[in-house]
Amino acid sequence: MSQKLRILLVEDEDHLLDAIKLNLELEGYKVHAVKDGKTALKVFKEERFNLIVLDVMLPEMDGFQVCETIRLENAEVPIMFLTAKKHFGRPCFRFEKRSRRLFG
Amino acid sequence: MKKSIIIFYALLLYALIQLISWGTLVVRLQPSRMTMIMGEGSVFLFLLCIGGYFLHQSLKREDKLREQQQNFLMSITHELKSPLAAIKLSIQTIVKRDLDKARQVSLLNNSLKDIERLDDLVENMLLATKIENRSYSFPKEAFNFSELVAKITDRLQVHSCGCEQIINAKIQPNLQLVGDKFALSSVVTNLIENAVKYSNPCDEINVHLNEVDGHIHLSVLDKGPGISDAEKMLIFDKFYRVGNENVRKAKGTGLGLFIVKEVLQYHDADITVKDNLPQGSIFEVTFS
Repeated sequence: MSQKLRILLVEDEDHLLDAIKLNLELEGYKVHAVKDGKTALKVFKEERFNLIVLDVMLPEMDGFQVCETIRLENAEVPIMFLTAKKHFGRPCFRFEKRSRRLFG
Repeated sequence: MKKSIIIFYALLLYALIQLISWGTLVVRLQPSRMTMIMGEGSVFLFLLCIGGYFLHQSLKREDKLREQQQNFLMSITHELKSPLAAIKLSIQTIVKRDLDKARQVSLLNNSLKDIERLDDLVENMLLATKIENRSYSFPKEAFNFSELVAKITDRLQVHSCGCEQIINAKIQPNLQLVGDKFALSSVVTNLIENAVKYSNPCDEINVHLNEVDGHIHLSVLDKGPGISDAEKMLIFDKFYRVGNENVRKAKGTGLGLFIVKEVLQYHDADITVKDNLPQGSIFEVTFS
């Protein structure tokens, strides 16, 4: 692979962000790390990414809102959710329902 | 919850309709006893209304409590799991990868800070529980309050330096206080930590400690978003937190100000919240 795959990482916990970024970089990815949803959307508009890793609990705008906004523009880029909650039931359902609607 | 409220109101309505229909029936049969029936009916109606009102109040309170508990559960998941996840990932990274010394040290330092955060959280939770159960005895002793405030301000200054917040402290030296040193240090820490948490980076926070007419005053002034008048009364409730849990800007559990209120009550001290101008809040503690 001549060009590194690019990942957008959104996580508000500093230490977790550092550790995840370090691991992904050691795996050979180019990581752009941001700490809140608004910045994430701004960066997403400016650059191209191969994968987005999103935390659910974010300041000001939660991960689902970020995901929805991204999906309105781009239906292809894979989005991965990071969450501390094991019981993901309701928001996950909500997300699926919304994403199905967004996909059409 | 919704179901029980509907059943409760349906029962209330049913009782009311029954009362009126039986009343009219009896009046029709014995028109001479009209006054007695009306009198008894209105007493019954009055009692029913009072009962209904109190039940309604307690149902509402229950609902609020449940919501706060839910909030607490959400924030506690975040507060406990995030540092744990960070510690786990950091240590796994060190074990798995061949890192240079500097990187290892930085990961370990991060983990240590996370462990301190967890320690603080557990301490707060234990203190709150003990205060609630009345099992905390508040051992009283005379100590130098100025020194305590200065020490806490210094410690938090170091912690917040990453965000470039500046804590300005104006402390009148050698103010003595009789009280529980541990609980009061938790009060001061919580107040200053809140100011740091809810301020923007580079904002300054002012901490004033002085004595006026024999009363010790401690005020913490921040330039954060401030607290709306409606919420000023609520922030001291257990588990209450400003705003929605999923898009929370600041971290926390909703226990801090509950501890502050309870401890200060025990020390016969007052706390007031005011608006800081042009923006922000002022927390003012007055010891009697």
